[in-house]
Amino acid sequence: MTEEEFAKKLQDALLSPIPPADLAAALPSASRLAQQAKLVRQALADGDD
Amino acid sequence: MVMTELIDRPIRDQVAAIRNGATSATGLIEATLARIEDRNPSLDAIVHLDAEGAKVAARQIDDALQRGEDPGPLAGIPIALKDLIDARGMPGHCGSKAFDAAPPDRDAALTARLRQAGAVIVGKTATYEFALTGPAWDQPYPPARNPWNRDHITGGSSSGSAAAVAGGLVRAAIGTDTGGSIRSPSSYCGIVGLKPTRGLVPADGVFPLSGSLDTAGPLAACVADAALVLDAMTGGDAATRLGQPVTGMRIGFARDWLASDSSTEAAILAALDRAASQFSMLGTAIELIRLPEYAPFEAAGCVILQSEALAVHRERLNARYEDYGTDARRNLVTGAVLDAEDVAAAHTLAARLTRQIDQALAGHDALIIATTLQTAPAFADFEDGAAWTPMRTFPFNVTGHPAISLPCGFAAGLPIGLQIIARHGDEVRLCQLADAFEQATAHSLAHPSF
Repeated sequence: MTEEEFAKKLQDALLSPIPPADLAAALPSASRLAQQAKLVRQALADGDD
Repeated sequence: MVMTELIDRPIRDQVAAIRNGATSATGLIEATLARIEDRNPSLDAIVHLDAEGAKVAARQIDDALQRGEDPGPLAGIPIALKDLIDARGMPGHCGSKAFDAAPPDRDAALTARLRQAGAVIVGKTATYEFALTGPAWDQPYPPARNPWNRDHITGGSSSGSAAAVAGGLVRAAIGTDTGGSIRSPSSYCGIVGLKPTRGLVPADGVFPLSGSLDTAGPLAACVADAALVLDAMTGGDAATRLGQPVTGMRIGFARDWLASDSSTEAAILAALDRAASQFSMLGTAIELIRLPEYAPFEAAGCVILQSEALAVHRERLNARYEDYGTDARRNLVTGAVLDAEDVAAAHTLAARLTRQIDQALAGHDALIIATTLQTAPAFADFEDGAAWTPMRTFPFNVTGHPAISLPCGFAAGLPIGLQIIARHGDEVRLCQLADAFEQATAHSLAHPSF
């Protein structure tokens, strides 16, 4: 995910623009969270009860 | 018994001393206030002290006893509340400069129940900002310090509650736990932290982090204290089987969740092995079990937590972004990467994982594992922002099972926490097992020096 894509997601989530330094600093955590969401879907697809 | 001894005795002894006239609620509160004045400056645990309110409440307990009335099972016991929990007339900041609401005109439901049970609310304890991230220096107050080593963090987010109990300021304090925020600071500070079954303690009047995962509960100096305080908040019976034998119970040891993670300190794994042996000597059957893979628990929990936290804070972030601390606001905005399908998938996975833990508990009375994989890190580790603190608490917020952390050893002078997990609603057996372990070991008797 790029900073531009992250900024678009903030906008889509109805958040006001944030300072560039915060955008850059939060990007790694945001990317990890997006990976966590992918892992959730993968676990659902792979697993069963 | 002199007051300096009584103040460090279990709650039931303190209540008995007040009831039989050996001391008074007023005397206990005065001793507590003196202890807070002496020790809190080195701990930064209590961030709002209501000394006058506590004295008035203590006098009311004494007056009730003089009239022959029963002031409740916690008669005169000082208790502190995490700075996310409402107490009538007391200022609350949720650890943030972005939260400056007027003091509430009513108690949180749990606060009201504690007062009804005779507890005396002495004040508010430090929290990480809105129960997020880690220690920070851009909050309304400095981070609480670990009584075992002031250069180390307490863990959080119920940071001040843990420091207050470990430092002997109060026997019990209330915290909240969304991913481990009661249990991990309890582990780091060498005390007992009880996260009850989700929904057992009323959430009304507690500032939310993630409504699907949040649970309020006690941090206490011993298992019996935690059980008594929990019962006062719930009307439950967690304390009813304390002291009873645990012979014949079956315990699943999820050792693989520790041994398979390279971040687990060797001393933690060794302490857990000793704890398992101790349970065996108590007559329980210890069985090594394999739980489902750990990573999906954490993933589901993170997606649910971050999506719900952003929903709670969206309006305030837009209005007061710069008033938030740097770590907190940078954490909150990450939730924007999630969509509704991500969140729905996380809840579906959480339900499946809950069934899998239920299955593991169907054949066992409880599970054991470490609370955290390392001892409390130093403040210096956080100088460049939030640092990773691996733990094994989040799964049981995702599944809602009750879990307790209690001391099981030390490494380099810092406490290690054992975590016990029980079936939904089985706080009775959870506390019975934890109490049996505590009584068989000396870990809970160790106190930091002042």
